[in-house]
Amino acid sequence: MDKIEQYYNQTLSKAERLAFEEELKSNPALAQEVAFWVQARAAAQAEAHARRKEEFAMLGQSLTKTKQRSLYYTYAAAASVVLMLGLGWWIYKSQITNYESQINKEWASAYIEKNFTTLNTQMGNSNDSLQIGITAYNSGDLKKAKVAFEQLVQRDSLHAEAQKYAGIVALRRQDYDQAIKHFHALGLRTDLVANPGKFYEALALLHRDLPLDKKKVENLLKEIKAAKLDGWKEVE
Amino acid sequence: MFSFNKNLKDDAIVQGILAGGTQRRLFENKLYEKFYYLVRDAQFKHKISADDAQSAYSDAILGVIDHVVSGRFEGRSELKTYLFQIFTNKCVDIIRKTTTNKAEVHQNSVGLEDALAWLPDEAQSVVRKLIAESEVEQLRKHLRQLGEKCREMILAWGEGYSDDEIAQMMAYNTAAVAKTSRQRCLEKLKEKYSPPTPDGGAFNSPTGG
Repeated sequence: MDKIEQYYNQTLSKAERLAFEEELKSNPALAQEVAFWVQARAAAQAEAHARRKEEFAMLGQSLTKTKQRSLYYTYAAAASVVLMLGLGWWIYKSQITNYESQINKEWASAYIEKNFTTLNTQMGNSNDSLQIGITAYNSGDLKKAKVAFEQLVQRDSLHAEAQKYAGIVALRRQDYDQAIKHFHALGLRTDLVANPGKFYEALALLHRDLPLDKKKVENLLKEIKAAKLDGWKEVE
Repeated sequence: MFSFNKNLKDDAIVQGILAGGTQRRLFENKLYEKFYYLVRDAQFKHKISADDAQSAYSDAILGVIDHVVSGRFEGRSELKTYLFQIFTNKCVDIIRKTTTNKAEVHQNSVGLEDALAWLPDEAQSVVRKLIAESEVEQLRKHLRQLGEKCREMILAWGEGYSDDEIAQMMAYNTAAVAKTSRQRCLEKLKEKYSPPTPDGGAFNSPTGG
């Protein structure tokens, strides 16, 4: 066996090598020996490879895992960045809108305080429902005023003044839904010379302050500014 | 000292494997890791399963290691090019195996053929009559039944470790002692295994008289 290994390790001299090869042809026992050695080595190789392959498979698995893990980290990092940006934007935005709406709500209250505390009494028949309503309003009887104006509106749905006052009464009573309804109806009318409907609706919306109201207010104010509807100077 | 970063140079890997001893395994793993991305590429390119790609990759790596150890890899091409070529061939083998669904043509393993090719023609044909791949399988089975120490030794030998390295790895005093032990183990293996008679064996009936 030593001789065979020497032969394969190329440590034999040329003469020895030739002699070995010559003997191989005529000596069946040696041939058998070589055949065994060659096969044993192939078996050892195959076996070693199989084992090494298993080790590699494990290594590969751990590589895939770490890769996946690092991929997860990347995703997590990206997600948190997006989240932080979103959160930051939301806070920033809500601060701004809070600030704006605060200002506008105060401003709306101030406007209402200033302009709606007393209604202009008109000369004329004091038995007129409108007049009754105005009087009741000015004396602080909002309930009576409400009944008067709303009856009037019911009787004559095109009575713009009555509708306006009904809205104002509702606004004072903090019945913003009702106020918005009246002002909105008023704002839709195109046959009036002066129509503060949209502006008043914006005031009422500012007070109601539901999630979508801000957007509506923005739109209304934009519209008022653009068309120079009643109240546009206030908006400016 | 070397640092085990991912960008170990090809040269360093080849040198590390050639240096042998206990370090060799480390560098083999480095080699495996360095080009592991080829597995994913191959999955897409050849449309083979992840397991197949990984298996082919391991085979290719083992092939490269064998070539490096035996000196057949001369460093004329880049390690990556060399590996890629072997890997691609392995992948193609897998595709062929799965698409044609034919039983593999019985072939001697590369190691066996290499050993035979050493011999001059006439001697080669004499020996060739005495061997068969199926017997290698038998031997592998017997190998697994050998004692722990013997098996380790023969496997290390199969991986191309020298007796000197085996002595180091398995704490033998000298290479000569390791060699004697190893040869004794081989003898043990031989005892377990009974070769078919040259003219009676079913595997290797000679074509001529």
